Amino acid sequence: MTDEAWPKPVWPKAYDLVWTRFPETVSPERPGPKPRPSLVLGVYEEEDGGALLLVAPGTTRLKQDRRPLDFRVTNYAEMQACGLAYATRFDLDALLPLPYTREWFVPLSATGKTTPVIGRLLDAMIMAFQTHMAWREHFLGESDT
Amino acid sequence: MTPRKSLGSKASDRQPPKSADVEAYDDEVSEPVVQSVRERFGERLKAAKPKSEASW
Repeated sequence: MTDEAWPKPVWPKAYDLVWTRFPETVSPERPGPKPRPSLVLGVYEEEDGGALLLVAPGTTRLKQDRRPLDFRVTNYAEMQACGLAYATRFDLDALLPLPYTREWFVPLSATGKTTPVIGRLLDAMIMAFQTHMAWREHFLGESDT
Repeated sequence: MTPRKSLGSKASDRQPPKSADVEAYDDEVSEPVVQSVRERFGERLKAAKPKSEASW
């Protein structure tokens, strides 16, 4: 395993989807054995020239009733645009900063892609995401009062 | 003149292109792991410069 950083020309952008090896253990937090998709919500450059990504982890456990504040991609055409093989829920309570290195982010070998980026939200999906986030923040704000 | 829409072709019988053949990813990142990773990388995130951010 290497911790080599992915070079800047192949950094993702916000709303891209990337193939991610989320950690499954605490101390040390090592990349998990089974990669899965995550939604990129931020890309940040470090002083050493590397990047950190802020990502929302994806899961096929949709939990339609129990997790209404999460963002889901379930429409087949949208799944295709995102490079998702399954309807996916992105956990917005579990946003994680992770270094954009070959240790944490890997290409999805089945696609023949050479970078971890597997797809991107369509423009209409970005608008839907923004609407969802505004509603989520309003809901959480009301819950706090 | 706009061509008339087809009334129910056999589209539902056709198989659209299949996405990459991957296993279902039904695990979830546990709360202790989320907290641990945030503690490990959170300070680096604060010090880093934003290059691309989702907006809402």
